[in-house]
Amino acid sequence: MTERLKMYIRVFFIQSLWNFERMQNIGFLFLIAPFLDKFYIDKEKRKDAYLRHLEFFNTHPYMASLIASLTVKMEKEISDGHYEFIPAVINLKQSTASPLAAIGDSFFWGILRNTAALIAIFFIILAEGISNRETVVLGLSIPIGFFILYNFFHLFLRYFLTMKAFVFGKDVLGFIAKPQMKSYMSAIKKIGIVFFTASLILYLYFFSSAEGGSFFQISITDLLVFSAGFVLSLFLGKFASIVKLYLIILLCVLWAYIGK
Amino acid sequence: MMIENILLLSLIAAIFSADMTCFGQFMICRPIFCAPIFGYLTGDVASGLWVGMIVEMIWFNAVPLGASMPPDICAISILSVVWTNRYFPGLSSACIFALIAATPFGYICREIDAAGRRINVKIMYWIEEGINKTDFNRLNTGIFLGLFLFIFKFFIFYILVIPLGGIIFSVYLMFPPFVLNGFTKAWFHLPILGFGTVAYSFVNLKIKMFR
Repeated sequence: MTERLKMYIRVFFIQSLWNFERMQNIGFLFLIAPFLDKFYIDKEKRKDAYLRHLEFFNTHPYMASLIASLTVKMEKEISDGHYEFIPAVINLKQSTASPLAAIGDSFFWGILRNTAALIAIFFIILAEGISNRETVVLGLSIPIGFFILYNFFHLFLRYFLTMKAFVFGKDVLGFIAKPQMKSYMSAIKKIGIVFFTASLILYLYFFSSAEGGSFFQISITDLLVFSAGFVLSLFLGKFASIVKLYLIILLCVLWAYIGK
Repeated sequence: MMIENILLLSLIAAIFSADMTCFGQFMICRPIFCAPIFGYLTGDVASGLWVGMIVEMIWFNAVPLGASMPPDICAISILSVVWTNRYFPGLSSACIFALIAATPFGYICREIDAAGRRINVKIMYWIEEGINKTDFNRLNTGIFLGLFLFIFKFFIFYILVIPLGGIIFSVYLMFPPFVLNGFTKAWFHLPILGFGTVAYSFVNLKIKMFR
């Protein structure tokens, strides 16, 4: 197995030893260790290289392999005798970790995951509305679809950026900062918003018109209840989720008590 | 498919929980994935889908950014689904009650995770000491020890907590009918709360009141 592939697999362990003091430092060292072992045959030099990377490090876990690729390129230079790169490799890690963490947080977890989840939610409502509750295959296909959709993009982008960083070095950061990236992110978010709107409409449609067993019975009341609940949850936007959850359940119980 | 064995369920649940902060981040820890899978494992996919959808939307932005630690929504959804399917399968009011009971355990899991991260500091120093003595193997050992400890502590957590469902549902049986009716209403209204939360956080539809 090549060192690059080893690094790509090891990146899944980046947070296995996440700690409050130096965060992902051990995980990062674990990523680049196969390269350091190859570059530094002398144990004392290898020790120095290992200790260099035990300092504080924290970034988005998906972006860590990209920084690792850049670091490995510099470590190769250092092992070839260019010791002036030692401060540069530390600076590189410190200067790229935070911006890449912000990009990773907003793209992977803020947009890609949320869009994949909203698509899955749409299909859950659709499945609940049109199918028998016993349909196991249909039910299981939704979470599996979410898993495949999210991980297809996630694993591909992670691999692509890691390998590109080996070839292009720091220039790969320019690729991420391209204006097109922003438009791609915006397009994916718009897909999420479309599915969100469709889910809302579908939810109202299925659970207001179904006869017998459905909670909503009269369309005007449905709309009022739905709108009130929706606006209330917007008002409660900044409250902790647990507070909102218990409050809505309490209101439902009170409503049931008044209407009994 | 129906798995009755608590040990097996706990092991699978612990592996799913590890995905959140410890290994992979393939999003198998998200309620939208883990709740239906546990629904399938315990005999009712439909309840799992609905609970997964509710929890996913209400905790839409619950991701561990930097050092922040959100409640373990994986544990919340898994416990809700497993408890319901073990005691009152297919009953929506029981599912909501299980969700009420499971939510505090999500916060307990967060504290367990934080305690684990403090132990990781000690493992980190042990690795550093090893490297200073040119014992590089401690790095691999430390990484796998961290992963093992994480899965092990959650495995123990689920083994202890899943059987609590019996005690929790003994309370459920004492509720008067209007409370159960209220829980059934909540089954249809919590998704609305979820839609509001998603609109607030993802679509950025905000009302200037509490800001």
